[in-house]
Amino acid sequence: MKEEAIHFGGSKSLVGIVTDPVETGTSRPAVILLNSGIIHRVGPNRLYVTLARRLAHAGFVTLRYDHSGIGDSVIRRDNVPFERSSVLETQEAMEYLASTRGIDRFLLAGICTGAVVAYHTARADRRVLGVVLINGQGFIPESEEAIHAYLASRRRRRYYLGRALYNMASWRKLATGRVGYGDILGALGFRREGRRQTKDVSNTKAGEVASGLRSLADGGTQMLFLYSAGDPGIEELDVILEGKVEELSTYRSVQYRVVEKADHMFTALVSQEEFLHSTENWFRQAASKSGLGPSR
Amino acid sequence: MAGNVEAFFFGEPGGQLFGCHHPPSSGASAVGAVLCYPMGQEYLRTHRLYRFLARRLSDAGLHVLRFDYFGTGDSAGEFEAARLERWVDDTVTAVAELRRRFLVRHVYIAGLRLGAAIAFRAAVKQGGVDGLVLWDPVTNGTEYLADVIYQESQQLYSSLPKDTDSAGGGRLPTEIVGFPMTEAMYGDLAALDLFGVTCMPAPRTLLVDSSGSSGELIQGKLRAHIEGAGTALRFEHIPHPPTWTQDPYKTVVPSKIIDTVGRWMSERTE
Repeated sequence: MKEEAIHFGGSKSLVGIVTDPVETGTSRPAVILLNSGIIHRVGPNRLYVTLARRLAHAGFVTLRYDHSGIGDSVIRRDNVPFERSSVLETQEAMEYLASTRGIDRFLLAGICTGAVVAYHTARADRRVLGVVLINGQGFIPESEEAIHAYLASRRRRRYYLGRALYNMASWRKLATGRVGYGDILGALGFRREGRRQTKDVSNTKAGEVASGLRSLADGGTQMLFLYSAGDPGIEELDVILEGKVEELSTYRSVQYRVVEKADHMFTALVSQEEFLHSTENWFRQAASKSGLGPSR
Repeated sequence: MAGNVEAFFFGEPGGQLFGCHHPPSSGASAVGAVLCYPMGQEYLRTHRLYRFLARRLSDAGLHVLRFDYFGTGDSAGEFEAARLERWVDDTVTAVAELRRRFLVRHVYIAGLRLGAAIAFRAAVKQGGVDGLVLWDPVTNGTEYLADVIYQESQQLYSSLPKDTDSAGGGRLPTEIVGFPMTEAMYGDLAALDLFGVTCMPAPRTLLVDSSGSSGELIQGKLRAHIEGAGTALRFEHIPHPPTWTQDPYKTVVPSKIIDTVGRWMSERTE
C-alpha cells in the first residue's frame, strides 16, 4: 500500500490522499470517499483512512479528499452553490484519477451529506458504477418546507415511540407539562399505523430524488443504502419513497442494510467494524458486478 | 501547491507523517511554527480551528506546519499502535522538517489541550525552540483521562442502548468516543505531568486559558511553575466555550484567542 498527498482541481486547490494498492495497474474501479458534513477527509472516527487502507489490500485505488472550504481545501470564490460545486469537484477527482491512474470507472461512498453528493454525482456522470449511501441526510432541500415539517413531526413521533415513552425522565416531564402532548399522542397513533403513514411527494424535490434513485437502479447502478439503526436518514428515505422502501429489494443492483447499535457516525468500535466489513464486502461485490446491464 | 497550502508526507518510510504547510504571506521568512493537535475526538473537532490558526500565523509572517501524529489523521499507522512518547518524537521530527524544507531558523511550537502537553515535552526534548504556546494545556494525564472517560459516559452512547457501554465493573473503557484505548496509552497518559518537568522548555511562553475560574487555578499553578523554570511568560485569560467538546457544526472559531497567538508571535518576527 502507498499513500500520496495530492492537489487537484482547476486551481489545484483541492487536497486529497490517494491510497494505491501494492500491485499497480488494477482493473478495478477506483473508490472516492466523500466528506461527511464538515468533518475533514479522514472521516468520522478516522473511518475513511481505515477503509481506504483495507480497500488497498483488496486491490482498489481510493481517493479521499476535502471539498472546497472543508478540511485543507481552499474556499471557492465563484459563488457556485455546494449542491453543484460538490458534484463538479467529485468529477474533478475522477478526472485526476483518470489522468494519473488510467481509471475511468468509479464507486462513490459518503456518510450523511457525503451520501447526497454521491447520489447527485451518480445522476450526473455515467462513469459512476455504484454508490454507498451511508446514513444519508439532506436529499430533500430545505426549500421543501412542507415536507421538512412533516419529516420533523415523524422524527419527533419516532423519538417518543422509540425512547421517550419508556423513559422515566420523559414521564416526569409529562407530569410537569414540559413535553409535547400532541407528539406523544401522535407517537401512540404512529405505532398503531406503523410505517404506512406517508405523504404524497410527487411534483416536489423529494419526488425528483425518488425518480432519480429508481432511474439509477433501473440503469444498473450498484447501490448500497447503509444505515445505523434509528438514524434520522431512514425516515427521510421512507418519506422520499412514500413508504415503499421495500421496493428497493426488487432491484438486483440495490442492497439495504441496517447496522444495529450504531450512532450516526459509527462511534462505537463494534459498529465501526461492522461498517468497514459491510462496505468493503460491497465494494468487492460491486467491482465484480460492474459492467452488467440493467439489473431488475 | 493549493492556494496557500501545501500537503505532503515526511518522516521515515513506513512511519510517514502527513503535514500541511502554510507559507508566510510576506514571502521569505526564517521564522516558523509547528502546530500540535489534541487527541481523538478533540482532534476532529478542532481541525478547523487549527486551519484558522495556521492562516493567522502565516499572515503574521511565519512558515506554519500542521501535522498528524503517527496513528492519527492521514499519517501512517493505527491508533492502537500510538504511544505518547512517539507523538513527542513526531513533533521533534516536524520541527526538523520545518527547518530543513523551508530553511527556518527560529521555531515556535503551539498546541491545544493534549497538543499543548506534547508541544511542551517536545520543546524540552528538542531544545533550541524559540517559543511555546500552551492553549488550555493538559497538565496532568490522570485528570485528563478522568475528563475524557466522563465524556465517554455522557456523550457517546446517549442515544444508544446501555449494553454498548465499553466500560464496566470499574474497568477502564477499551475505547474513548470512537477511538481504541490500549493499556500502553493509558499508562502513557497517566504518567503525564507537566509539573514534573523542571527545565525551561523555551525562552518565551504564551499560556492561554479560555476556561472559567476552576481552570484558572490550574493555570495559575502552571504559570508559577513555568516562570520558576526561567521562561518569559505571557498569560492571557480569554474565556471561550471549549471548542474541543462541541459539535463541529455548532463551533464558533475562537478568533480572539487566535489573534492573540498571532500578535504574540508577530512580536518576535517583526
